[in-house]
Parts: sequence; structure tokens; C-alpha cells
Amino acid sequence: MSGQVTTTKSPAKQSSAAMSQRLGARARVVLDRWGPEVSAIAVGIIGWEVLGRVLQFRFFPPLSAVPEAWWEIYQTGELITELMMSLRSLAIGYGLAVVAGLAVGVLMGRYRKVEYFLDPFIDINLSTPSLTYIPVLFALFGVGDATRYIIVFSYAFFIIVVNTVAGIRSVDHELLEMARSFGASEGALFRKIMLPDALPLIMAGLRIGITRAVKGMINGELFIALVGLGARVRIYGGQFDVEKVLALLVTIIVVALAATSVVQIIDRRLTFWAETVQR
Amino acid sequence: MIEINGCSKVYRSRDGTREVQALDRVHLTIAEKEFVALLGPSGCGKTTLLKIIGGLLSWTEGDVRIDGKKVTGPGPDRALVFQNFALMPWANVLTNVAFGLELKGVPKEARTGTAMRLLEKIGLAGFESAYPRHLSGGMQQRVGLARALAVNPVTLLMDEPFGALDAQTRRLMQDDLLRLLDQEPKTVVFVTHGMDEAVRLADRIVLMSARPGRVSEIIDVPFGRPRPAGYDSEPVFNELKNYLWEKLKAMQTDGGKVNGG
Ligand SMILES: Nc1ncnc2c1ncn2[C@@H]1O[C@H](COP(=O)(O)OP(=O)(O)O)[C@@H](O)[C@H]1O
Ligand SMILES: [Mg+2]
Repeated sequence: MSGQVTTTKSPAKQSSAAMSQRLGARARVVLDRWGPEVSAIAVGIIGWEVLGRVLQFRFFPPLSAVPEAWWEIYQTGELITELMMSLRSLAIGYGLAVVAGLAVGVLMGRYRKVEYFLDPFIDINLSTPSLTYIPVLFALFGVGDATRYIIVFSYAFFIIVVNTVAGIRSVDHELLEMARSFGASEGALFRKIMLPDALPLIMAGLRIGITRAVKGMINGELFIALVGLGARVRIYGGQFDVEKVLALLVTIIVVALAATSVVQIIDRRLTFWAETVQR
Repeated sequence: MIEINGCSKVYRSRDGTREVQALDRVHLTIAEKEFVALLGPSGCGKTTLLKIIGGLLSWTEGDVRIDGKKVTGPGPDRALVFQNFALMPWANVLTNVAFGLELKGVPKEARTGTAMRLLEKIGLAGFESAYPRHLSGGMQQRVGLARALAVNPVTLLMDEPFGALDAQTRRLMQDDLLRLLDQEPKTVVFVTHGMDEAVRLADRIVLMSARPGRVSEIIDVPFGRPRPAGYDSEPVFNELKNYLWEKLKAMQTDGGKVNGG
């Protein structure tokens, strides 16, 4: 596009022009990538502030009232304590769901009998709204930490299983045959062909799994209302302290975004080779 | 030497209700360093026969031996080249080429050395860290061929290896294959449905017929390897091609379908 323009300039000017062009191109790339996302967030923030000020509604304060409330909870130290409790149940529940989900998914993907046996359980659990289990789990395991871990686990586990099964099932037949023709053992087939080939689908399961795990974390805390960010939401909600509820909500959103980003970054690192379509 | 004696293959569906006879008492002996083309209409069992020689498929009747020993599975003496390349998309060219050696437990340094040498030889130097999806079809099949050669097999088993390539690339690949074999002779079993390709490459052409797959005729190609200059403008070249064409055409109309071939 602009390559011809620089040919008339002196060499020094040329290179600086080329550099600024390159910078311009970079900026454009960054803008292309992040522009829509940043604008969306800006619209959200401005919309919230404007609506809050215009409505003058007790239960919908403008965004600017939230930082103050946030600072207040932060200073008492409760925010960090509860945040840590929440993150702990997220880490334990999701971690277990990943390990168990991969193991069960691989077994189901590889052995038809295991799949037929477990399929009904998976289907039932996937199609029932997870919220409905919480009272049952609560009744079974009491109000202890274990219940919150199990809730997080159950939110993430099934989708990880389903995706892992799909991944193992869709492994390229020709690649398996190729590896076999070069003398691959069953173990080598699994490690060197099945797992890498299934990885994009497995990682998709882990990505959906983490967002569900965050939901499970908050839902469990809301229900049990003893510890965690969710419990605080419930308590301040009961006191109609809307600013503090919103401050917690913002914190939860940040936790959710951070958790999903971590999984997404790992996913991109591991499955860059599978990206076939450039958008 | 590969000896196929009255080999038949029946595919059975999982529940045992449906059967397809893919091969019917195939007899074929292939000498060391010979280049044999398996030519026939699609569905005549070429791939089946190749996989049986490769030890990837069992047969239902007859006997298949290599150097007197019954084939019981894949072995380091044979390497396959696949029609759709069968490259691992998550691995770069170097890892793909070295894959057979990796499975054999060859240490990383040694297999990298071997793979790099082959890449050089096959015209892919400098592409070792590229990923398959960034390569053209012809380059991908070079990787497939290099991977097969890397394990230094006695026999190359090639299943329509150039079938997915455009005509020009195919010709280049054919020439390169002949050049490589000239430097380092190997036994080759080469599946194709192209008459031209069979005549250009093979010492012998095994013409197969479909339903069930049988050897209908074995033809000696009257040109040596490497091919003499200008052999493809000699009348014999076209006569042989026309002969094969007539045969294939007859087979396909007999079988109740004509698809040009
Ligand atoms: N796994 C299989 N199960 C059932 N039938 C098969 C299977 N593979 C091939 N066949 C059948 O066997 C015959 C020969 O197939 P194939 O060896 O692939 O032929 P070609 O390679 O000559 O096209 C065809 O009729 C095909 O439908
Ligand atoms: Mg075939």
C-alpha cells in the first residue's frame, strides 16, 4: 500500500519512516485485536455510571460508589480472607475435576463398555441444572469445606469428561495406523498420537470447565453462606448494602476473568497448531 | 523377497452379518529391489493387499511371507507412505521425519542427525521447524517419504502416495523417487490407479480386477531403471499405456460401472 511512497525519500528518512510505519502497523494490529473488547468494557462502565446517576435508585448506585465500598471491605481484611477461601475451593474443586475428568474421559473414549456403562450418568448430569444438586450435596456432606469443593467439582467434571471422550473418539485413524506401521506400542500410540490429537477438544472442555467451576464456587458459597465471596454477597445482600454487593460482584468478575484467562493461555500454548482459520 | 500365496481377505462387519471379499487368492512374488506397481480400479483391494504386506491387516486365507518368514505384524524392514501423508499436525517437520526412529528408541541426537540428512537429500533443507499445515501437498509428501526412508527399510510400501498431488508436482515427485531409489535401491510396492504413473515407475505392473480383488495380469515394463532418456516418447510407452487403459476400461464396464479411471 504505502511501500512506493518511501522510495522518494532519503535513506535516513526512509528508515525512520519505515519504522513509524511499522509502529503504525503494530498499533493497528493491537487496535484491531483489543479495540472491540476495550470499547465494550468502556460502554459498560459509562452506561452503569450514567444509569446509576440518572435513576437515583436505591438499589442501583452509580459505579463510582463501588470503589469506596470495595476499599471499606478491603481494609477490614475480610475481602482477602474470603477471596482466598473462594480461590482455594476453586483450585481444589477444579483441580480434582480436571484429573478425574481426564481419567474417566480417556477410559470412556478408549473402552466402549466403560462408555456404555457411564453414559447415562454423564447425560443426566449434563442436562440437569447444576444448581438443583446443591441442596442434595448440602444434605449429604453438611456445611463443611468438602461440600463447597464437591460443588465446584460437579460443575466442571462432566463437561470435561464429555469433551475428553469426544477428543479421544475423534482421533485420526490414519495417524494411528501410521504410528502402528512404525511399530508403536499401545502406550506409545496413546501418548504420542491419541493425547496430542485429542488435545484441542480436551482443552475446550477445560475452558468451559473453568467458567462452570467459578459458577459452582459462587453458587455453593451463596447457598451455604458461611465463607467465601458468595457468602459475603449473601450477607450484604441481606443487609441491603448494595454498594458492597456490587463491590464483591466486581471482584468475582475479576476472579472469573483471571481464571478463564489462565486456562485460555495454557490452551493457546498447547494447541496453536490446531488453529486453522484466521479470523 | 515377498511371497504372497493364495492370499484372500474377507472383511466382516462387527456383528458378523455383512461380508466383503476384498481379495481372492492373490499370488504374487516380489524380488528384492524390485519396483512393483499395483494397478487397478478403486475398490479392487490394492490398499488391503498393501496393508497385509505391511502387517497392519490380517488375511483370512493363504500365506504371506517375507524372506521366508510369515508376516505377523509391522516390522522395521517395511515402511509405509500414505496417500494423505499422515503427518502429525502438532509436530514440526523434523519431529515428523524422526518419528519412526523415535518409536524405535533411537536417541534424540542420532535421530535428528538422520532426519536432517534426509531432509537435505529430499529437498526440504531449511524447513525442519515448519509445521505440516504450512507446507504444500508435495512438500508434505516429501516429509512422509523422508519419514519412511529414515528407518532405512528394505521395502517401501506406498499407497497412492502422489494421488493427492497436482499433475506437475506428481511428475516431479516421481522423478525424485526414482533418483532416490537409484542412489539407494529398495524394494517398492507402489499402489496407483494411474497407468502413466505405473509405466513411468515400475519394473512390473500387477493389474488387479475388482469384486473380488484378483490379480488379472502381470506385465513386465520394457524399460530399465533409471529410465533411458526419451523413453516416454517411444511408441512402446504409449502402446503399453493404451493396453492398460483398455484393460481397465473393460474391467470397469464388466463391474457395471465406468468412472473414467
Ligand atoms: N475396513 C473395511 N471394512 C469393510 N470393507 C472394507 C474395509 N476396507 C476396505 N473394504 C472393502 O474392501 C474392498 C477393497 O478395498 P481397498 O483395499 O481399500 O481397495 P482399493 O485400495 O483398491 O481402492 C472395497 O470393496 C472396500 O469397500
Ligand atoms: Mg486404496
